Amino acid sequence: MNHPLRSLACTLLAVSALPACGGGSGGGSTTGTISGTLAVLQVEETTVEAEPNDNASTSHRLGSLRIGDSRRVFGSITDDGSDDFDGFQVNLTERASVDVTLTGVNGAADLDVYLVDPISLQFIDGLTSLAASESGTFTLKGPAYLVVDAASGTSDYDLLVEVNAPATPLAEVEPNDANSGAQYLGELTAGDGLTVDGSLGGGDVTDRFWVAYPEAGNLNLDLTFDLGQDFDIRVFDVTSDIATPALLQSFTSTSTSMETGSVAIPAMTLVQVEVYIATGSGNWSLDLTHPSTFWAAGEIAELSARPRASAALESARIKNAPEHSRFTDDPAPSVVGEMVVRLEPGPSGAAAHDRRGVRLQHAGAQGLQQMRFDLPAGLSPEEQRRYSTAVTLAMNGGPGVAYAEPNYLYQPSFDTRPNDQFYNLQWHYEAINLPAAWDIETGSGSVIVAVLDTGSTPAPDLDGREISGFDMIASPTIAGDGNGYDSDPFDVGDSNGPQPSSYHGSHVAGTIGAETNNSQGVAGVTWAGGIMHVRVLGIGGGTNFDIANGILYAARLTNASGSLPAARAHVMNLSLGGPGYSQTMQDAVTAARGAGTVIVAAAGNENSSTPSYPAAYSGVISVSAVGYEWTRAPYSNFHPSVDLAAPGGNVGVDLNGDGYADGVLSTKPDDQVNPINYGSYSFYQGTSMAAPHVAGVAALMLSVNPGLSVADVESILASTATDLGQAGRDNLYGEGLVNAHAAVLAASGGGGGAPELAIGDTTVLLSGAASAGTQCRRVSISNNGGGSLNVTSAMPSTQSGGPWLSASLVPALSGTSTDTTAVDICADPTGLADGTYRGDVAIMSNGGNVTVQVVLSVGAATGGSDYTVFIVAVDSETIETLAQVTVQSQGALDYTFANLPAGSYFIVAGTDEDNDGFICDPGEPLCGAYPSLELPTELTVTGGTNLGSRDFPLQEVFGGASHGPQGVRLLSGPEWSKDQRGESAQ
Amino acid sequence: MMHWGWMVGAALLLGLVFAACRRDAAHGPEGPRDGALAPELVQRVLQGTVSGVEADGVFVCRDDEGWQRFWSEHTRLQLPTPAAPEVDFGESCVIAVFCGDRPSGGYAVEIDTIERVGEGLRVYARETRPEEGSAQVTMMTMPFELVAVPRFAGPVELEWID
Repeated sequence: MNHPLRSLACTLLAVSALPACGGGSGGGSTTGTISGTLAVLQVEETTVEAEPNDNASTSHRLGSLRIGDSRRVFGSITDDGSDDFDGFQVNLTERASVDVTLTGVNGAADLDVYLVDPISLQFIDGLTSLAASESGTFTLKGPAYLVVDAASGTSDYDLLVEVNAPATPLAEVEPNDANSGAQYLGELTAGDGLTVDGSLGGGDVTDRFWVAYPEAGNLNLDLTFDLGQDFDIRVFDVTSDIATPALLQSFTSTSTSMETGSVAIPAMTLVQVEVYIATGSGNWSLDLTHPSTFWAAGEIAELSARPRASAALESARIKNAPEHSRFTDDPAPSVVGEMVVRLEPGPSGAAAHDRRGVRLQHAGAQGLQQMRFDLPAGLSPEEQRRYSTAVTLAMNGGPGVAYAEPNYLYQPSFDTRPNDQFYNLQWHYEAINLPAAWDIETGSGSVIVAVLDTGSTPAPDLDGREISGFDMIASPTIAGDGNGYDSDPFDVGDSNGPQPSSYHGSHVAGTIGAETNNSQGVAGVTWAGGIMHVRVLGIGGGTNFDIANGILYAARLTNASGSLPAARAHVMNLSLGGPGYSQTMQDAVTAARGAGTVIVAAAGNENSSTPSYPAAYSGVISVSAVGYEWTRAPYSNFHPSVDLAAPGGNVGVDLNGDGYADGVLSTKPDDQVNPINYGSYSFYQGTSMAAPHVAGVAALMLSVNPGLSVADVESILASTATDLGQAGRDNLYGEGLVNAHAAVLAASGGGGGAPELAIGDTTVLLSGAASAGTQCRRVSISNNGGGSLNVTSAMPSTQSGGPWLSASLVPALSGTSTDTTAVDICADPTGLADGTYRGDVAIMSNGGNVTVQVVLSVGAATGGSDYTVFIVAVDSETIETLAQVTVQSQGALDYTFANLPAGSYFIVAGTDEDNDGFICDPGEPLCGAYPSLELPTELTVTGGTNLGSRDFPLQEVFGGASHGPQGVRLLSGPEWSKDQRGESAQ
Repeated sequence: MMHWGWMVGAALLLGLVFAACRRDAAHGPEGPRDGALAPELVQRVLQGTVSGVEADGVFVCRDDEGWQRFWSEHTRLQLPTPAAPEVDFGESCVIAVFCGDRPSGGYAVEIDTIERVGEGLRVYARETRPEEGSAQVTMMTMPFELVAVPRFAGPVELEWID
């Protein structure tokens, strides 16, 4: 299931890319008004399980829970091995008594709920009667997992989690006498403490408790008991196996009223504390505290690396846990001792890892950090992996952490590395996952890439790839070679004055296809195929007329020169641009694309939103540039026409520490020496350097699957790109950084085959009171195969409780590989009693059929808090928040944005309970967008516009299964917000 | 290897007098200036569009050590690094003029005139830009021109002209 906000962001940005959409920052002098009313969905704590959620790493995050909160999840589980577990991660912001109620729909099934501690991932408690339904109470603090399992049968279920205030002090819950049956009390973090009361005697000789230590520190114990008795304490490490405790320390004084002590606990330890009778019987009270002692980084590292148990018990500690005693970690390979974390803005995020022995290894953009931590000595490979997963996932509950996930390894990875002399300096190939793509395809000799540029040179690392080209410069003056059109595209220079040529065409061609694996120079994206130089840039640049004819020539279409190549190019690269729109060139592009040539162009280097042509023409893949850290290169243009990003480099930095500038290295003759050294190479930077990466990948795709159409190539490149910046398409990176491996892999399995129906969500949740009226959710449709997908129908196949469910098709724009872009699934709860209703919508197509499960929850509000809701107007082009008002969720929910500058806006509303300056983060109680979270639609304001009744609902944002989306930024200045509230009241 | 009509050797300095690369220079070329170096005394060493020097302004190299350091920076984007042209710093200094990063091809730096100002020199240079409406390569460029002039001891100033 897609995260709703991810869908929101995708849709926001996709819509904003439409040429017809004006930007909110257009700067017009006129203003308008947008107003409406919010509605808080009445069953705000309900969601549908997000599969896959079968292991710790993929557990469905239900967000942060406070006392008084509740969560209800609808899911389905089976015992046939296809769906082993449904895992849900909760994060209790304070110690709480958590009531868990599981209601199985199929009474013949046997469903259970297990509690898994976040440190060791062991099953430490369970509700395991022989029934379809279970209920019980756990004491929790910090993160924990609730795991639903089917002991037998298959059933839909409702899982209700309700958070209540704990007893103060906590009370022991018997039985807690066995090693594997201690009572779990949640996390004990620095500065935290708890008190638990109990009694011993009458055959009860031991009371055992578990606390989780995510951070290194001391555990202070203060036990008092009835006068005249002698009770003692033992502290164990049970991180490896709760059934085999490893003794850390005993406290066995002969005091007849108290026992105290302190023991150092490494980070990520599940601690067992045992109170037992030396002599006597009676009541006891135990204080456990984790003092806020400052630990230097070195001390934490030392403590974390210290063996947790004595040497004699080390073998027990590292032994594998019994089968089914532990929640599985992620089977996907990842780097042990590393994690990828996105921190929330602010000091809490920066300090999140300090006490956990986790240190920064590599800082990326937008709070994204690669972190590393030491593993305790003596762990088996399996234990190292498990420990690494637990440390990583426990960070999810930490303050200031948006999300943490393993640093996954992707296979096949980097197996195919060429032996070219300077390949180790071509960081830009690994940035686009090219070595893995080479495992699949290195290029076909029959695929031709045209380079419309400054022409060719006899570079020894390139000339073997070059096929016949053409000099398409009509003016002898511009051509600089004494004539107009001719069949020799030799690069005689592109500058106004008597100075060296940039040899730009050679550099671009080298990226596309320098001779590779020849122990010389550099590698190219493609290792085989023809490179056709079409010279269109001469002295002082080029003209629209020449470039348009060059495009036609490369596509083997009639052109002004009267010449045609022997075969058309399959891909053409235009690392050139200018500000002027030319209908002549647009026509040439359209014709060439129609002839079957993929056209790639550079987005331009003006660091502006001004369109650059030909990149901005329809039918051209426009490529922006990123640097080594995958952030926009400082010069790269940003514009709605940008489709993809690729490495363009930044020669002002050396972030990879290889001793050279982080430019793109390729073939470039050196004419500063005499004679010219054609075997020279240079680091260049620019979107000129980014575009040929994409052109080369397109050539690899066509090599592995010659049956791909231009639209197929464009679609696969977009759908497989690594999303950067705002979720979904944005003007800086388009669909994201080109991913060569994913693109070639997708090309190898599709494109020429049959259509294949794919949908965005397999489950849909609708909720509200019976009087709320019809509610709809839009489920996206796409064609994951080839050809044309024809969706024939979408209709309810089942529905409980009467006819409340309907579905309708949303047609796609022409020119795509599907005739349907989405299905609207609607529920009308009118006349339905409070309760939960289930149904299915069957979607039929020539690419297969799929079923969408629908859950309709009808009922009154379950109570809840009075939240501050921020409503923001977001510029649809820049996705920047430009205006903001606030309301209370239990007060008047009307909003008005007066005096909005002319432009187009998305209206988004949500809470900022974590106070990080973003609304609609995972775990936020409320989020919404006009007209719905699933399908935000921009509103255009012109002079005098008064758009009223822009009403929309708010619902809870649950965390996604594994990837945390970004929220929508609030305005930072409180005074500004105040002013806006004043405006709204006018 | 570049050839020179005359060579000189001397102490070096990577002197730097930065000036903004502006089109609205204080004044344009107004014919031969008093004290202008004769054209034959200004020898072009190199003129190009891509340099490892991203700063804008004027650099002066007065000895071989500084010249080598400058050349290393200037050619840091190239593999292999070409050898620096030989300059006799007993007789000459090298003046290098840069206009900083530019977003495309079509830009160039040209030293127009160099005149004596006391013990120093004033360099008049112009930046040419792409013809409006023309298409250009979309690579970042760092245009430059390097000239050798008779050795001098004073400061150097840069003035951009139209």
